[in-house]
Amino acid sequence: MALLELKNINFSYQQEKAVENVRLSIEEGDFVAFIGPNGSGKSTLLKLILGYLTPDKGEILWQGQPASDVMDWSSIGYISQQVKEFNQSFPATVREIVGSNLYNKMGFIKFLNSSLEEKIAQALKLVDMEGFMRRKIGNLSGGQQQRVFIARLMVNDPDLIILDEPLVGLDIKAQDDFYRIIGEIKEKYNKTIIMVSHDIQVISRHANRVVCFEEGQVYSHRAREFSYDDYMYDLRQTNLRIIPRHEH
Amino acid sequence: MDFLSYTFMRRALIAGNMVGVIAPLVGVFLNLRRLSLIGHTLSHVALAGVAIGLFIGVFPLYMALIISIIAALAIEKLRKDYQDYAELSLAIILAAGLGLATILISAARQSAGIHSYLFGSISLVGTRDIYMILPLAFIILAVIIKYYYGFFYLAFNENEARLAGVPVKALNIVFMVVVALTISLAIRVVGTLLIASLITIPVAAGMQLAWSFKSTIWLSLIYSLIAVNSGLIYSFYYDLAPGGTIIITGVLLLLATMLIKYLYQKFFRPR
Ligand SMILES: Nc1ncnc2c1ncn2[C@@H]1O[C@H](COP(=O)(O)OP(=O)(O)OP(=O)(O)O)[C@@H](O)[C@H]1O
Ligand SMILES: [Mg+2]
Repeated sequence: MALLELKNINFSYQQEKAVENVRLSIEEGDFVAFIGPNGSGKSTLLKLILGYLTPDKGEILWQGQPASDVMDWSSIGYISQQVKEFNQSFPATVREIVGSNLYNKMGFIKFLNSSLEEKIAQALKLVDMEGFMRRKIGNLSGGQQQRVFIARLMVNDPDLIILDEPLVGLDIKAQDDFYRIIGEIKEKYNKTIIMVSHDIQVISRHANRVVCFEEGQVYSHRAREFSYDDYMYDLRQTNLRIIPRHEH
Repeated sequence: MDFLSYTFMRRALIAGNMVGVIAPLVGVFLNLRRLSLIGHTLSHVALAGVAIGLFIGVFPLYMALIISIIAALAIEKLRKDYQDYAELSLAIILAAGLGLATILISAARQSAGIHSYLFGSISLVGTRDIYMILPLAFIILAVIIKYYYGFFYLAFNENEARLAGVPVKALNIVFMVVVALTISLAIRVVGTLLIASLITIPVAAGMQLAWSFKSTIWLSLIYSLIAVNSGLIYSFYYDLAPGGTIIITGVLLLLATMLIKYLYQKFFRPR
């Protein structure tokens, strides 16, 4: 059974259609790349999956059950496209930021106890940030902040990880580090990942599936056979929904 | 310490310290969420409550409590439903509250009592006030401690809090009620005109030196308690309205902190 299944999802903001009849199924352990031009509905589809928006038509199934009924939202780890837009003078340490995601695991009084502190330390170790526990979040570089947000998401041991353009503003080294950490997360914990990226070349080396967006519609591919030409080809198609490209 | 031999002064100190604890606690979350205008709005609405109480002859602080809770819930609803007009709706509620208060105060014709509700009063803190402030302040304290990381998450990122399992809607409503209660309780001590400052100034001072969220809370608390206690004592010896002495002490502490921080960074930090 698919971990996540989207059945004919439609969604419009006011009049404008943002997601049109999208069918997509994501298996456990998949690393799915979302690519497509600006405004093609990538973030909107993610927000539908995350329950921020409700589909006008269609159904989202989580392990075969309607997501709106069965979903434990803390089992999804999310880094939004706006993640860096927080108040940079917010007086919180890395420990407090990562720890706050453990809200569900805190007891009657919502404070951190020593077993939760241990989880924070482990999550920060995963992203090589264990020495930054007591630093203020706003005093870190963009790449370091990004790693803290990965730790914040991993501290909850999520079943599904959703990353909306996490590489924006990172230099080549930080991007490499990012993919190394994601690779480690995949290898060690076999997490399911959905990631939006505009760098088709790089992402298709890491993902096992590529989903192309064009004006609210999607075309799905196995990553290995996928190339830039395929992407351009897709953009010229308008009537097709899902092309099992590898069968051509 | 001869002021301690006066019953009214002991009562004022008890009330002042309770308010001095909860105001910066609520203030840290309110200010970091950039909702401090809500403090201003609710204090003016609370003044309308006081005026209604004076007008119909009900204990004014009870009226302030009820009216500001209703307004707080309305504000939370408007904040959600009309996100783009949130600030405008606050301005409208503030204006309506102040307008209503003015009309009722002028209609009541015996407006002598209103002075103490505007600027605070130490001699008028009665046993009734203490019985109202003590239990409510403890409840507010308990709620903030119980949901500490929930309020923290709402302050850092209200949108993403839901994905951590924070009951966003419910906690937002609880928070607004807590703000309304805090404002109503502070009326007697600092007066409606200066409550919003008591919620803001110690937090602004605390944030100057803070190295974490927790330290922001403790530092704000310390600044607030210094301001409240020295303000009340000045007010006693010089027969001044406590609201003013408390806030001016707070502002001086803030300025001194900023100056010390500036000098430290200029002369002691290695380049
Ligand atoms: N809050 C909103 N209200 C109205 N329209 C919106 C809103 N958010 C997005 N849209 C519209 O929906 C469409 C899809 O937007 P979306 O943000 O999903 O695109 P995207 O693929 O994530 O783009 P990008 O690569 O720029 O992030 C766009 O046409 C956009 O203008
Ligand atoms: Mg987007």
